[in-house]
Amino acid sequence: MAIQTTSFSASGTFTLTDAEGTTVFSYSPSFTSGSNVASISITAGEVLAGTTAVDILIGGEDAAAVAASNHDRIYTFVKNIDSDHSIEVSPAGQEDGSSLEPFKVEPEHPQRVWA
Amino acid sequence: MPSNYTFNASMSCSASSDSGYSVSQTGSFNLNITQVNSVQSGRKEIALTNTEICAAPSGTGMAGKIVYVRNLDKVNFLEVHSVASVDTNVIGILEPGEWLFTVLRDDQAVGASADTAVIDIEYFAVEIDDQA
Repeated sequence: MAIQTTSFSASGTFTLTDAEGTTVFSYSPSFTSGSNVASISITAGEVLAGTTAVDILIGGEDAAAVAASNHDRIYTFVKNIDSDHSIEVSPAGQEDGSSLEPFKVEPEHPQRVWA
Repeated sequence: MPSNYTFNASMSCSASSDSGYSVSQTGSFNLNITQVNSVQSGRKEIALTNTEICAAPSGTGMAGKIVYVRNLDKVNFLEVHSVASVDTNVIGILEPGEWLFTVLRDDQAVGASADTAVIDIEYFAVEIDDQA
């Protein structure tokens, strides 16, 4: 399968305000990645997450291609659009072979930019 | 004395390929957090061994933390991990200039380790309670 070259950009604003309305901190970071090469470069869309594991991003047969570039990394943005229930996101595979930390995303929260 | 806070996050991401295809996603949310004991932000030097970014959440009702880490180094990558142990429960690997943001709903500490040489990071870590 042919390969593709991609780049990823992220920006955000994160602000913490105390009970008196005083801004404790505010960060507005951004970055654009270097070029990434993979057999399947970009996946996006909506998926119904069940109570058992559902692949939502690159995985399975593409693992070797992902591992071959850029420290075995995938840029991810996950948004829980449910109004009631949280989801757990469990990345698999990383440099040195140990497991990645799973994390929960509460209803209507986008909580992860990078994995 | 524990205090109450409001956290606001908004994010925008895009990916594009040489073929001309591109996709973007945006999102935002507000989080009201109460009885917070620990709010940390600033810059920190990360060693090749584990360097703790935030301690394990403590106190009544604490259920996790909001974490942001940015690699300020110009050359080397950075590993960020939960449980404060190198190569264990890795949250992310950040190339120079890259950052991650996530909410971890657990009672573990968060640490980081540099791969080649000491790295400076920009970060914040805020405890969240079980109602957030």
